[in-house]
Amino acid sequence: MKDKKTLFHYHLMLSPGILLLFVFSIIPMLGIVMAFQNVIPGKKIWKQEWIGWDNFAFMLQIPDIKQVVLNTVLIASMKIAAGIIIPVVFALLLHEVQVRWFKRTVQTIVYLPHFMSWVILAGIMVNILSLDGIVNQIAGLFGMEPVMFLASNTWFRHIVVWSDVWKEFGFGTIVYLAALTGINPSLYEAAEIDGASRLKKLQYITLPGIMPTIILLTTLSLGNVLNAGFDQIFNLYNPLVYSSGDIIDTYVYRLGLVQMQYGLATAVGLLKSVVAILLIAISYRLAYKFANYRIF
Amino acid sequence: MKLKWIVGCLVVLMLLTTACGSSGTEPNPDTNQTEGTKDTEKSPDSGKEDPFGKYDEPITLTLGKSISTKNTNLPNGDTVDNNEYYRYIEKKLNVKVTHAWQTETQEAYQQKLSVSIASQDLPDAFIVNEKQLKQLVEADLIADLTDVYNKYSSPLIKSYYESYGDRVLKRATFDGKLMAFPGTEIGGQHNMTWIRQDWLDKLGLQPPKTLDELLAIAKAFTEKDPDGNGKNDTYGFTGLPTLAGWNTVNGFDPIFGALHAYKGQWLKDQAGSTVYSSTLPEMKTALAKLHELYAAGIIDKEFPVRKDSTELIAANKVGIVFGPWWIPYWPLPDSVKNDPKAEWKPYTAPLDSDGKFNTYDQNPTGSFLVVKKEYAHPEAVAKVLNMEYEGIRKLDPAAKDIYKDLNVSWVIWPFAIQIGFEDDAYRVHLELKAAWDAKDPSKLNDELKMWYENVKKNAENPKKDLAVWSDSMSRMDGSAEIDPSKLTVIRNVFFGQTKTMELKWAILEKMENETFLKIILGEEPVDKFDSFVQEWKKLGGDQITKEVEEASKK
Repeated sequence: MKDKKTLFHYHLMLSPGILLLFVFSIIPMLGIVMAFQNVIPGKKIWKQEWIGWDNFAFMLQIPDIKQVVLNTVLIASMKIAAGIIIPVVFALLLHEVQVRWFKRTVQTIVYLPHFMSWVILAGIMVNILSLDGIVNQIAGLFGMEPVMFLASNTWFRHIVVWSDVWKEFGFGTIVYLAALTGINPSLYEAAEIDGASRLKKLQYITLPGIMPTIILLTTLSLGNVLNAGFDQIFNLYNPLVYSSGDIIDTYVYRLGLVQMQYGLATAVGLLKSVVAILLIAISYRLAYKFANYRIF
Repeated sequence: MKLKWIVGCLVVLMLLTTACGSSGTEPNPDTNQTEGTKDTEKSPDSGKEDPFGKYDEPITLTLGKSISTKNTNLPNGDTVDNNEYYRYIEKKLNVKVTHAWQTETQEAYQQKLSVSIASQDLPDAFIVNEKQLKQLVEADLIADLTDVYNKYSSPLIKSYYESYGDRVLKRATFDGKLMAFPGTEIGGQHNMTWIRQDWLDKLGLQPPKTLDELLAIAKAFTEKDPDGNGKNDTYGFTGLPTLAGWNTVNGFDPIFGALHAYKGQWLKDQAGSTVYSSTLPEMKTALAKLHELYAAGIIDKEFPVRKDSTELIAANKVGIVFGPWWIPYWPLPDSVKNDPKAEWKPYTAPLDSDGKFNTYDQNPTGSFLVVKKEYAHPEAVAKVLNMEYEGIRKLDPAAKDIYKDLNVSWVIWPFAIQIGFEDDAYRVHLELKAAWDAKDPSKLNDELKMWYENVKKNAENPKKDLAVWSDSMSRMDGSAEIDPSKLTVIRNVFFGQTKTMELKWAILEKMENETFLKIILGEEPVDKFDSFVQEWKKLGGDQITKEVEEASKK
C-alpha cells in the first residue's frame, strides 16, 4: 500500500509523456479503419462506406504481388544482413586502431552520408553510374563494355543494397564502438596474463561483450523486413527495373497516393505493420530462448 | 514527503504547459481570418451581377497555389503573394487575395492538396485535377458555381468556353450543376519536329518529309559529328521513359504518328468500337522501328534512366527535338544560351505514306478551379478571374503597363489556370503574321504589339536577347506549323477514369511502360508485344474497354 503511494508521483511525472503518446500515436491509429472502407477523401471518416476485407482481397489479387513482395523481402533482408555484419566488422577493425586522430577522422567521415537525403544522393548516383560516369570510365580502362547500371535488372538490387550500406554503416559503427568501450579493460589484462592471443580475446571477450547490442539491433531491424527503403528506390528506379526494384511501397505509392486509393494504401500499411510486429515478437522469443537475452 | 509532492506537481504542470503552449498560440491567424470573412458577410455586394463590380467592403480570398518563387523577375521586393497584380485586383474589386499556403512545385502541391482535402482544411479557392474534382463533388465540399458563372463571368470568359462547344464545361458539370471553372488546353499543342538547321547545313542535308528522311538525318547527326568537336558524343534525339503523351517534350509522338500508332489513347476503330491505342498492331510496328533506332545508337542510350531529358538539349548533344510550338520558351533557350550558333527550326514532319501528319487531340481540360463550399463570396472568384483575364490579355489599359518589359510570367496572377480559345495559338499567329507582312502593328492589341516588337527586335538582332528570341520563334515560326489544315487529328473518345481503372490502371500502365521500354532496348523481342496485349486484356483491359465504351456513349 505504502509502495503505491510513493510511486504515485512518479506516475504523475510520466503522465505528460503518456498523454503525448496517446494523442500522437494511439488516437491516429483509429485511422486503421480506413483499411476496411472505400475511402472517399474529404468525407468524414465515420461516413465512409464499409467494405470489409475487400481491400486486402484486392491486394492479394494484384497480378505481380509476388514479384513485388519478393523484391521487397530480398532487398530488405540483404540490407538487414549487410547492415549488421559490416558495421560490426568495421567497428572491430577501427577499435584495434591505436592512432586516435585517425580513428576519430574515419569515424566522422563514414558517419557523414547518414545525414544526406536520398534525393541528393540519388542525383549523385545517377551521375556516377551513367554511361560516361566514373564507374564506367574506370571499368573501361580494364577493357570492359560500359553498363547502364540503373537500367539493368542484374545490377539494380546490388546498387540499392550497397549504396544503402554505404550511407548507413557509419551510424551502426558508432553504436558498436560505444559498446566496445563499455567492455571492462581488466578482462583483457586478465586474458593477456593467461596468454590469450588476439583472436582468442576477440572470440571470448569482445564478441560476447557486444553481443547484447548486436542482438538488440538485429531484433529491431527485423521489423524492417518489409521496408526496403521507399526514398531510395523511388529516386533511383525507372520502368526498366520494375521487375527487380519495384517494392511494396513504390507500388502502393503509384496505386494509392497518385490515384488516391487511401483505403488500399492503409490496408497495405496495416499488413506491413502486423508482419513487422510478428517478426519482432518472434525474434525476441528466439533471442531469449537461445541467447538467454531479454531486450525489454 | 510533502515537498516531493509539490515538486512533482510543478514538473507535471511545466511539462503540460510547454506541451500545450505551441498548439495554444497557433490557431490565432485562423480565427482572425474567419472573423474577417464573417464581418464581410454582412456587407451587401454592390453592383449586383456586374462581372467587374467593386465590393463596398473589403473581402478576402485565400488560395492554395503551386508557384515557384525562383526567377520570378518580380521587381522591388514584390513576392508571389504580394505584387502589382494582387494590388490591382484589390484596387479594382476590393478583394484581398492571400495565400493560405503555396508550394514550389506541382508535385508538392498535389501532396499538400491531398492532405488538405483529406483533413477538410481547404483554402477558399484552389485548382484540382479531374479525379480530385469528382471526389470533392462526392464529398460535397465545393460550391455550385452555376449561378455564379451565368451572372458574373465576363463575356470574354464565356466566349472562351463556348469556343469548345460543350466539351469543356460538360466535364465540370455534375447533375446539371457547374462545380468548377475548368482550365482549357489550347489546341495545337502536339509535338512537332524541331531540327538544328545549322547542323543540317553543315552536313549538307535537306529538311525531312518522310520518316525515312528524318531517320537518315538523325543517323547523320549521330555519326557525322555535327558539332565538330571531334568526339562521337551527339545523338539524333533523346526520349522519355513514358515514350509519348501530351505536353511531353522529347516524346516520340511524331514518329508514332507517321506509323499510325498512338500511345495511351482511346480511339474508335473502323467498326466503331472503342479500342486502346497502345494495344493495336501499329504500335508493334512503331516499337520495332524504335528498337532499330536504339540499337543503331541514334536514340540517346540513357533516355530510360534520365530524370530530366532536357539536359541533353541544354548541352547541345541532340539535333532533333520533338516538342510543341512553344518550346522556344523552354527548353530551347538553354540550348541557344550554351551555343549561340544553334538555329532551331520547326517542321511538320515526318509525314505518313499518304503525306499526312498524324496527331491525336488532347484533353481539352485537365485542371479545374474550385471554390470551397463555405466561402461566402463565390462570385468573387468569378470576378477575380474576369479581372485577371482582362489583365492577361491586356484589354484593361490600367493593367497593361504592370511589369512592362520585365518578363514576369502570367502565372503570377492569382489563378494559374489557362483559359482561352481552342485555336488561340494559331489565331494569334495569323493576326501577328498579317501585321508583320503589312508592317503595320497599329491594329494589334497590346499583347500582340509586344510580340510584334519582339519579332522586329529579333529580326534586327537575332538571339541578342533570348526572351525576345523566344517570343519571335514561338509566335512566328512555331505556331505557323499548327495550321489545322496541315494536321490530321485522330479523336480521342474518352479522357476520364472509369471504376475499374481506379484500381487496375496502375498495374496496366506499369506493364505497358515496362514492356515497351524493354522492347525498344532489345531486352525483350518485339513479339513480346503480342503476349503483352493478351495479358493486358486479361488483367482488366477488356473490362476497362467496355466501361470506356459505355462512358463515351453518354
